[in-house]
Amino acid sequence: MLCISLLLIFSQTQVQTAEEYYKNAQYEKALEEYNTLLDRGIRNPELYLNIGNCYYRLGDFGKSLLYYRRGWFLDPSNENIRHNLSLFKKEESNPNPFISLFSKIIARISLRVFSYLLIISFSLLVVIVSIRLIQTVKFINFPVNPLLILAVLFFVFSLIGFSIWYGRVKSEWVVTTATTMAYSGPNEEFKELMRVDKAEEGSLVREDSGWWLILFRSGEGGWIDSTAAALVIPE
Amino acid sequence: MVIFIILSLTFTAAVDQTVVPVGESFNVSVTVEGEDLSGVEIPSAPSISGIDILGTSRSQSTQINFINGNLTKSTSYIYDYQMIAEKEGQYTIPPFTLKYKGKEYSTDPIIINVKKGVSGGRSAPPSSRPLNRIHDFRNEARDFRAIFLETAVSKSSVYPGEPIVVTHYLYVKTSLTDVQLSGPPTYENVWVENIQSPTRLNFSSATKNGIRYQRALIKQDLLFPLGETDVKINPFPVQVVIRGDMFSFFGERKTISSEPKTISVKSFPSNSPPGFIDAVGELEISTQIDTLNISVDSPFSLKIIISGKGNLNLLSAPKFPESRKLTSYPPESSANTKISGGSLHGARTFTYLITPKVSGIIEVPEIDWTFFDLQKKQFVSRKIGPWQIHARPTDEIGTSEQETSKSNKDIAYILPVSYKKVSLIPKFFPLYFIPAIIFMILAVYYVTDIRKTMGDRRYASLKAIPKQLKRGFRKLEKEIQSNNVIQFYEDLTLVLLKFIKLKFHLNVFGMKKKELLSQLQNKKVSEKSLELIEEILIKSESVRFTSLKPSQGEMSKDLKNLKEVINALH
Repeated sequence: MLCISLLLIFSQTQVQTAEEYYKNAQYEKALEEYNTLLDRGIRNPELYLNIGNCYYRLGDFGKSLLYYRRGWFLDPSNENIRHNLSLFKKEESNPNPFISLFSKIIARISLRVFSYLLIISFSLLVVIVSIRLIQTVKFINFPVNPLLILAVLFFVFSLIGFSIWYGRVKSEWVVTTATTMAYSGPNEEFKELMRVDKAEEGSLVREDSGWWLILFRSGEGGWIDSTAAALVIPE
Repeated sequence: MVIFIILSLTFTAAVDQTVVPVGESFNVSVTVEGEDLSGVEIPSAPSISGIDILGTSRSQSTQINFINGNLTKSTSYIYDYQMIAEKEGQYTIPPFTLKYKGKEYSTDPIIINVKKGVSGGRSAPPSSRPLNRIHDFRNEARDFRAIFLETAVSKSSVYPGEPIVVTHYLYVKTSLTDVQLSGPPTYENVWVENIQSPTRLNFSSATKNGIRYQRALIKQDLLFPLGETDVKINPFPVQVVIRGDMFSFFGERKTISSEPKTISVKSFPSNSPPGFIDAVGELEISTQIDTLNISVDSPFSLKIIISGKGNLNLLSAPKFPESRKLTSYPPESSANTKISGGSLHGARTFTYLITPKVSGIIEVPEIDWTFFDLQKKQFVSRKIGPWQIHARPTDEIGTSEQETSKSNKDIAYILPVSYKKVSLIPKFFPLYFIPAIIFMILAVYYVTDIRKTMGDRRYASLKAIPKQLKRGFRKLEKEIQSNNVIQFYEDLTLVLLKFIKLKFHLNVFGMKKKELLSQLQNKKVSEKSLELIEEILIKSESVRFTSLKPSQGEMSKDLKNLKEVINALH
């Protein structure tokens, strides 16, 4: 208990120091302090946002985007993170208003929240189905059918949201942190395909001796040196 | 091309021969020449070891040229120093000096060789040694060698793009009435920048190989070799008209030409860096970008300015790297250059128009640029950029001021950091489903159990029906025999309802007749049976609540109907 208290006091001091450094435009020092918190196992959207801001101020937009994305995965409803991400890429809206609304709602709920919603909706569905089952043998004065429909809808919504976010995590989302060249094979002897700028996003398809085959958002793909990119969700 | 000839003040020294026999005199002519020579003193002669000055004479001449309506006048004082060397060897005649209007002038030193038994390298035979300088010029003008063109180059070996100053001089020892160029000089494998093309020839004295001439610059160019092929300077023809004399009043027309020249062009050191195209000199590069905040599909300009000294007008534009997020157009180029000191100075500007294809923060890629430094004789590389621009989506254009300022907002400020560890998925996520699954299992078990129990009861009740029916039928038959009408119909109803209750598990007691019939209809009971049941129930009510007294035969018939219904349903 004493150790935890001391650790908290130490961490609090470190956060204040980092904030001071940031306010005084000493971004490299602020970054060092924030990274120490990361090393200590602290993970939360605000910490990722602040690290992303430090990198942004230092002009390293690749890493800046990487940390904003990490924070976004933990809390996609965080307005500050959303704003900073919008500087890199504006969210595209679907022309279908229903799908657009659905996407917007899902885009603001994290995988963690969807996990809880899935547990709650499943439990609710199970209870209502059980009541409906019992009603076949015993008279219970309870409007089961409307509630059953609502529970099914709630469960389907939670399941879709969870699946989308889980898919994003499993897709091994990648952000490029340095400008590099994409090749047709896993080394520099292969044909050059395109220049890949910092802060490009894509998904890791395959890995081969320090080279990553990445499918970028634009639909193009290529092998890049893995040191020029980082996984948003580390292994 | 007609050139006007003028003369200006000069102070020169020349010898009549550069190789002199021992003991033979030679003449050193010191000439002061200009438009106004009032107050000119006699030049002071230097003392020369091994050479004696035998005597000095002075002559004066005035030269007036009237060419194409332009009058020029020049006066010359010529001081002839007769000298003699008694010993063999090489002698240097030091500069003569002259003070005039506060300025000191001096001639170039002259070298002569004194040898035994040689005839002198005179420019004119001793018999015709000048007493009257103008007269002497006219005589010498008959000799074609007295008029010639010289092409002087600043360098004989250069790198591609390295500047070379080429000067074309006209040397004369006579008076000319006209000089005409048939065209500009021609060169091969070079880029040419004009330094000067005088419309009036400015003659001045010049000594070439120790012989004094009048020299005028007729053309000066700055050449930049294109590629590694040797530069060729072609013969440059010039037409001159020599002033006539009593034998040739209209003068003598001649075409003279310079000798061709070749300047060798060296290769650059091998392994030129990838950013090298053709820039050579002492150069610097700088950039200007007009905005870092732009909307998608709107162009912004990136200016690359190359400045300094070098082949600025020849420069190719630095290559803009390909980018999937940007469209770049071929650059426009402008130059602000001038030639001075045999080099091209100034700045060349390349303006690239670039359009973002997508929104967001976009990196304008770094540009590699290399030039060959002529001083260091090596390649020098420079990197410019990268730049980050913020491309706003086009739908934000024309929005309100508030929205525009929102879109231009800087990054969000840092937030207070908590010490929690937020995970992507709750720990032991699948375990949370266990209570619900257990609940479901229990519910299913409960329902199964109830159904099983209910099934047992139904079986038991069905089993009990025959006994109860037998007992009921016996009682009803007894009541027919005793003609106990009311009791008979009460029991008749009771037997029927009990049977329905046991058979269909319906809570028939307390249920209205219509409701009972409706329930039985739901249980797929036939219409005929329903009619009989209704008939039995109506008749029983009528007997019980009215004065109706059915006979024993009717009672037997009703009992028969009951049995028929039970048989049909059982």
